[in-house]
Amino acid sequence: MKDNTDRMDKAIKEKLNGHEVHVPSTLWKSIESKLPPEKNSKVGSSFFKNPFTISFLVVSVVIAGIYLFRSVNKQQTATASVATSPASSHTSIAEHADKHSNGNTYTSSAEFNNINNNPQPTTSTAEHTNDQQQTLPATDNKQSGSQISFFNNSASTTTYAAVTTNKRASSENNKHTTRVNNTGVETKNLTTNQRTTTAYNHTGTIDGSVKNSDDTNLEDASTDKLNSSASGTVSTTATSKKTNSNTATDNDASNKTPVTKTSEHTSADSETDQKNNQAIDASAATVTSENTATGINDVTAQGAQGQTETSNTDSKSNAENIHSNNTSNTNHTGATVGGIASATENSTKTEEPGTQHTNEANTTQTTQTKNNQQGSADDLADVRAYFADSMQVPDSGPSITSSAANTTNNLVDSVNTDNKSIDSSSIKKDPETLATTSQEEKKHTSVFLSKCSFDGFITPAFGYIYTAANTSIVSTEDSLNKFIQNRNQNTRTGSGITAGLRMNYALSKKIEVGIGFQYSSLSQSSYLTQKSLTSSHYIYQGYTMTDSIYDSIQRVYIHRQYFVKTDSSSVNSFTTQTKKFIDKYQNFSIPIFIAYGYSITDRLSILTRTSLLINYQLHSVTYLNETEDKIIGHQSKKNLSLGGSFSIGGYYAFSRSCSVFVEPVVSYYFSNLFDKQAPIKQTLLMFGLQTGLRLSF
Amino acid sequence: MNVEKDLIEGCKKGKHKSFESLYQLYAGRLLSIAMRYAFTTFEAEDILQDAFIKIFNSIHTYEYKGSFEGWLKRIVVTTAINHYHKDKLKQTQTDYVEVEDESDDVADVISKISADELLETIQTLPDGYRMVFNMYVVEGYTHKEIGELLSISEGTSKSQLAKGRVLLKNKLLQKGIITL
Repeated sequence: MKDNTDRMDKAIKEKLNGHEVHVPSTLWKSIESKLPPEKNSKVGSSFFKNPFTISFLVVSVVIAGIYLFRSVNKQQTATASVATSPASSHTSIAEHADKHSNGNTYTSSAEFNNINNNPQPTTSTAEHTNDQQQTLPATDNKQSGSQISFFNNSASTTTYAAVTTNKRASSENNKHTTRVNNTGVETKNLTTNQRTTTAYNHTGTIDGSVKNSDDTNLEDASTDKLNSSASGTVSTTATSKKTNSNTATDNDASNKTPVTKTSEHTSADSETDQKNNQAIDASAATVTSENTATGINDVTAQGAQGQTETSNTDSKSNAENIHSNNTSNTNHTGATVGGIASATENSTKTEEPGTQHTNEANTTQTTQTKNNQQGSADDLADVRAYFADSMQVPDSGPSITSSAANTTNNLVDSVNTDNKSIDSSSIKKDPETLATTSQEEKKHTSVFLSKCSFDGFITPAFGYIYTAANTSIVSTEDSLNKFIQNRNQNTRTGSGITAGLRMNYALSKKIEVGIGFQYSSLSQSSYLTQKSLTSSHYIYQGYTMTDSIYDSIQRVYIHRQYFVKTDSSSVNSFTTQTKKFIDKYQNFSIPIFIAYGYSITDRLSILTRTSLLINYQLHSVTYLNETEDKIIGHQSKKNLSLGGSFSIGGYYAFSRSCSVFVEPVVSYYFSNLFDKQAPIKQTLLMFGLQTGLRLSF
Repeated sequence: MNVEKDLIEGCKKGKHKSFESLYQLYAGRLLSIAMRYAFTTFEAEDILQDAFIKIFNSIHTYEYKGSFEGWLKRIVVTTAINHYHKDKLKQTQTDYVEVEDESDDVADVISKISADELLETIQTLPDGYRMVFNMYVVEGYTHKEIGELLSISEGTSKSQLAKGRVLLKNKLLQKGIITL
């Protein structure tokens, strides 16, 4: 009895010792998923193999690059435009200033951050340190007059004036009116007409008051009797032995108000001339500007408002002072001989054809400043123009003090000989001109960014998987065609979802191109009546078939292999069953598209988009029944495939940078999504309704 | 042996590849063990899965003392016992059937059947019988150890072993597999 038991135990132990059973292949995946991550795995090795992450990184880098580019561009536009490109910056200045044909250089100790041409509010901080000198070459004016615009985030009006407070002659030549509004600063220069340049070094007396009015109305300014302050008597003591003729020609391209400045300066001696020149150079006097831009690019020289008055009797000190304040340096050498402060004041105000400087940061504020100065209005205009660019603006300081040219000779001759009247109607800027200028300016900065936008979308999708014969594997036959026909007729519309991101780049106002990535998932069911096979038919050419598809003429189509023929006797013995197939696909696609948009209203636009889809098939599986416990087809090779899509969408802009869109889309994946070795192939047609958000720069 | 050692070292370093190779090497045999303790194949796979996770997490404690396969088997058996403890409800539902000992010598019969058939028959034993039978007959545990591991008395272990033996013989006879 016991022996029998022992023998039984021994036999069982021997029988089971070393026994192995078949282990399901899925078991390892289940185990592996629960294992802790490898300790010494390469960082992100698998991470970077994932096409999702790769695409995400690419898009992220692009976005980050754009932001960086934009940020740097803002700063450099402001600072480097002067520092690295003085000529161009001066060109910008010249647009608002009189031309200096004498080739004077402007010494700037200020670094200002906003050029008049800059259409965008830049974010660079205006640095006015007086420790950096910029040599600005004389440039040709594109516009006559002297419109100077400063951007000021605080919306304070900037006006500076070269004002002489000499005891004698006075002249009121330039009147700069700066208008600051929401969209920028509009500076208007109210100048005497066709001024003859005057050496600033003439000492004179301005009997009239400097009209640095606090007017905030341009119209009021225009009616000011500017010449009322220009009265006075000028006596010159200069004994001129030289006559320097400086002719400054204002090229008023846009305003068509050319102003020829002719200044004749007869100086007693060259030294005096030089000194005078220095004084003249410093003609605009000390400028203190208010920069409340909180470091954001816009600098407004604030000097009007009745604070622009400087009295200097010492030309040297004045000159130095002026130079230290970055005033312009004109080449008007020599004292004006017998300069009489005729200062032919024209009450006619000349509005400069300056640009409208778009400055979003500015608040609406209009300030009119009238600058009375002794000396040449043109020179002052130059000075102003120079201030406009190389304006030295302390970080703080609410006012600007513009000192007019003071002469060493205490002689001032402010001669305004050219009395070319300027139509007062030009005071008001043409809005179209302003708009055009603004648009032109905008082109200079952030060109790329302004054309970029990003879309994020999600799409409920409906799809239809179309089955056809895989002619690369098998020639079409009636039996196969019947099966395919049966399959297509019994296929129901699948449902799924698509989500993704894309970047758009506007080639023009209506055409944009772009690239992105998206994920699509679709599940579709179909029903087929077929004969069930016995287990003996599941094996074919070494492969274990879990199921197969049978047609009426004893042909069995096996998903994973070529279809094979079976003898009719065996097939006829099969029982007929209706089976449900579930096809599931997951694709990762990179759409490359071109789109055409049309604006209906300011906020509403429509857009058509045609895309090429480069697909990476993440998952493809066909289940036999609803429980999805039997896989009869599986696309193990994640091949690339192609597709295309077309959509028409409506975009509604909530703001300048944010829009929502609804975009019906149809996509067709024309590459075979099914097992490449199967006798059938499947293509996918999807419909969706993209809803998403667009962010623009 | 060197291959096995390399795999062990790789597993100790946390390399999944090495562990996968180790899995491929021993999974069949370990699943066979798990199936002896499990009532169904699904349960056996669960046992094996838990066992391999334990192996991966504790392989660094293996110091090459004794057979590595034996170390693996002990982990599987321990895991199976834990599963047995978790399923107390099933234990209470087990019917203990008294079967007379036929006193037949079944050793020759067992040698004639396949291991799969024998395994399937063992799986049909009630949990308590199956556990004790496997632990005593195949694994070589003593009744004292079985009692400690299964939280039963030594006498209960002996009783269930005897009953399990008789039941196993009876099942084999009922299935007609054993042809004496």
